[in-house]
Amino acid sequence: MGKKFLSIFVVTILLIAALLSGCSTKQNTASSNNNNKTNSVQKQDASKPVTLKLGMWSSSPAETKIVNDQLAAFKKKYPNINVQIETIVGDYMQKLQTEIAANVAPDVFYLDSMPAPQLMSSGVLEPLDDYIKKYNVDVNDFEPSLLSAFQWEGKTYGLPKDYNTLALFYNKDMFNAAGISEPPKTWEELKADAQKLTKNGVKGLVLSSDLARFEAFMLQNGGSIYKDGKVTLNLPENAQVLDFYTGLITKDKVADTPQNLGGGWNGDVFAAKKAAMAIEGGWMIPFLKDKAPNLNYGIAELPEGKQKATLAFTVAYVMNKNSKHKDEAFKLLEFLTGKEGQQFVVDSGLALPSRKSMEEGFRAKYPDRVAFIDGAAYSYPWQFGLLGTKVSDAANKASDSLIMKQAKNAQEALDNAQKQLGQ
Amino acid sequence: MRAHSISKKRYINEAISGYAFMLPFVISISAFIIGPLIYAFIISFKDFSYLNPSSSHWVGFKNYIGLLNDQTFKRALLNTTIYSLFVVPIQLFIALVLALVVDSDIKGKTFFRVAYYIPTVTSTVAVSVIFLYLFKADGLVNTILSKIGIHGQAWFNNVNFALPSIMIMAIWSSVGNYMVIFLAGLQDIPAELYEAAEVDGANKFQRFVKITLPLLRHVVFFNLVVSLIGTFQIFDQAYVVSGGSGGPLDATMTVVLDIYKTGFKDFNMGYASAMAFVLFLIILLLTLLQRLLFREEMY
Amino acid sequence: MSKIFRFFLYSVAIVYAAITLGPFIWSIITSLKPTSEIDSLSVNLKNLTFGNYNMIISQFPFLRWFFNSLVVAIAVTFGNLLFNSMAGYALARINFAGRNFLFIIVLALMMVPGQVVMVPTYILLSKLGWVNTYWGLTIPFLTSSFGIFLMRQFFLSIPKEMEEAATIDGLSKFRIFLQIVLPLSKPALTTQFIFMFTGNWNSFLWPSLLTSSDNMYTLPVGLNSFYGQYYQFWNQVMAGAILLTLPMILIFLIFQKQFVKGISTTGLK
Repeated sequence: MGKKFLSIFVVTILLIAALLSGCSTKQNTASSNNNNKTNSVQKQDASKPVTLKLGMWSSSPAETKIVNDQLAAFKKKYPNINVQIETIVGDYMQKLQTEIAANVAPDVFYLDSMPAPQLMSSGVLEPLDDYIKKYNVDVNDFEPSLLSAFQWEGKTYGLPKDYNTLALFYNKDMFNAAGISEPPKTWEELKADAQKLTKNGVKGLVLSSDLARFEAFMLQNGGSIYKDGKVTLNLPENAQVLDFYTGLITKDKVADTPQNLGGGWNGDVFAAKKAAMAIEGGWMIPFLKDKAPNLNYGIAELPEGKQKATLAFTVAYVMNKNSKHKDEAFKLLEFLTGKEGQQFVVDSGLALPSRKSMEEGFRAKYPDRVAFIDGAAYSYPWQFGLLGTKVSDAANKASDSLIMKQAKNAQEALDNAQKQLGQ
Repeated sequence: MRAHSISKKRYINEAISGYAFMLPFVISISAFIIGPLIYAFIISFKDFSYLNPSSSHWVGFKNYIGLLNDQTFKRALLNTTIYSLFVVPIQLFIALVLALVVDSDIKGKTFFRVAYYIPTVTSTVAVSVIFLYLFKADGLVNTILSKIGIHGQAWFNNVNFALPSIMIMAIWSSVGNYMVIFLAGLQDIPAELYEAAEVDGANKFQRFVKITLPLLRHVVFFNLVVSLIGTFQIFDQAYVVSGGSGGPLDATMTVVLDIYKTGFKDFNMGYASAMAFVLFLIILLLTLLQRLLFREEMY
Repeated sequence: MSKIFRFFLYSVAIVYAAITLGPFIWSIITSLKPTSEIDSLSVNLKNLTFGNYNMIISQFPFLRWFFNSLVVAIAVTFGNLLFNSMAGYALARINFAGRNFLFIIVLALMMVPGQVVMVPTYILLSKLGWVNTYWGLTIPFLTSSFGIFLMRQFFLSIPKEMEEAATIDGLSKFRIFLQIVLPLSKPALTTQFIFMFTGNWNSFLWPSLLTSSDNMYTLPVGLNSFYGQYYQFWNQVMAGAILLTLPMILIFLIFQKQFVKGISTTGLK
């Protein structure tokens, strides 16, 4: 009897397992049928009001305001398309990917250049080429390096909404008090100035242990991180930089990490006047306005090494392959990245417009922020192919291990990181 | 004959009601534990990304072999083992001491019992943020330490202190559970035994060693198993404290956090399932080992 | 008892009570402080305010998260109380083929770490369209091997006579269970209620996986995301933490007597 029961039990479980896997194929065909249906329905009455979901994160209320303003203008132009914002809080990519997997992702959403290759290659995004042709979008107006971050195997998957480059934020009052008249132009000046500025518990510089900051210096030194599909983390040029960068913290003691200075990121420390300089992008501006409205600061180009270089961070709007209203979704995408939408970006001054034709407007409106635009000319995109964050995770660990004195020197730490990546 | 068929009918009726009573459980575990267990076992031999299921394919033992060379996973195993080795004995020791204290005839027993149990009903997330606040670079703990001349750390950001800080937190928040179970065990020990021993002239310590401990053996075993299984599944605290990264430098990377990151951030679900089975195996072996050890001691 | 020993007992008791209660008291004080004073260790009684609670409730969906947690915890707890007692009763008192086998399954499943089935269960739930819904947060958790084990041990410990009498009176097993056994099981049910309710109220891993939009977050997930964004505002973060903690403490205070009694009768040891 016991045995019989056992076999019944096992059969039941196998049946359920089979059902589970059967379910999946069944549902897939059902949903593709649905897609066909909605597509044909859509063509017949395009005037029917539809509701799109727009997925984004929000780094500040100022950013939310830009999108809200853009959507209000969009609604005026397309009264039949309603747009619902879905702000994802917490870990954006993790949440987004689970939503995609569960088929509940928004129609149009933010995508950072770094994880873009994984999504583009896995076929969950809608290629935009046909729509670009159909709606006659001038893609040549986009900064080419920004657009190429969202192209994969000859197809375009996203249109960049804006971008940001790294620059040097410096506290003018502290500079004056230390008798420094100009922001540093070279690495030597950076170190010397930081030395002068370090006193009374204030550090000259706040440095995050983050490839997204020190890669800029590596590029300046003739190094590279990812070249021709290969990781080149342990080049001697890179090691030199990492020794210098972490040495400012460990040997020269003129800099420290935001965590050790009681903050979560560079912005916290710079706003709290616990450091005189910080390397950040335009997202600092609304943050400082909010947290330290009276802070007297300037923005300069990054100090240079053998050559000028900085990093460009860009975010695009992309379309969900399973969107039920693709034409409308593209209209939204085009509007947000088009001249009308970009005007809001220019007006806010938070980020740089991704369209070349809009650049002059920004220069004229925000002369004190031109360091960002000047940097664009010698900027490199923040992207490492399919490896993506694995590269930056490994590099960050290398710099962590130097700052926390768990590794002898940068070459050893980077060799180890390179090995970890299986390269 | 008639009586026989009645009893048979009764037996069948009883069996039917037995199955009916078990039905919710059987359905639930088939759908949400045993079915998924089989599925997980299958995909642990596949390269499987849920984002792109059509590209999944068999890879044999590649995922398991990959684990052998995975520095992060090894570090996670090491961290989890260290964590378990410290947390299990310390928390059981404190729990036993507290149970004895609360079981004695001191005044305000109820108050102490409640006070000790409260951390147990507190969410691990709440506990984590409370400890992050107390242990931050310029927080209460460091201020108190500096008063007695010790220079504090940024505890959770320090490679050497992050894991111990999580241990302190875990011990603090779970001692109450084990204490209550010890307490129940203590209260089951008949008072006559102690009285008899007292008549025989045994002192308190002798009574504890000769009577209390042996009779508590089952409770200790139960607590040991539960505590060990629990510590090997540590996730919440490590996740909140490190913001999901397991940092600094993997110092707070635990096995479950690694599974979570691999499966739901990198979407490498086959590999994550392989990790999960290794964890399962470890827990199974530990439980069996304990059962074996304790059985031998009992005879 | 010697005086020294007594002194020692009280010292241990009081010191450890300070260790467990201290962090809560400090958190409560911080949650009542204005932002300008969060870094100071002194307490300015005049400035204490409920403003932080007001703030997180009016500006953030803390009430919604509270509601979600409540719905999920209540549904899961009552499912468990019913289904675990049913299964536990069957395993303790009803004769049927395969009973021992099922009991072994219950014991074995207590050892399966939930993380092993995390990936497939997520896939299953997403196929069912249950991601980011109450269904996904409740249905998979309606029974628990641990709870069944607990209830079986309890039912084995209570006398059989009343049930036998009822059987002779011709009552069905289901009515015996409902009308005779359950009313006798108060302590065990209370113990389980506390375990299940607190366990579920505090659960973090699954809800953080299963919810993607903030209107479906449960309180722990919400607090973690709030902390991620507003970590400088410790007074508000602490207000959130207290909001998450207080209901459980209240429930425990109400049921604590029954709870300890329940643990000794369920043979949970």
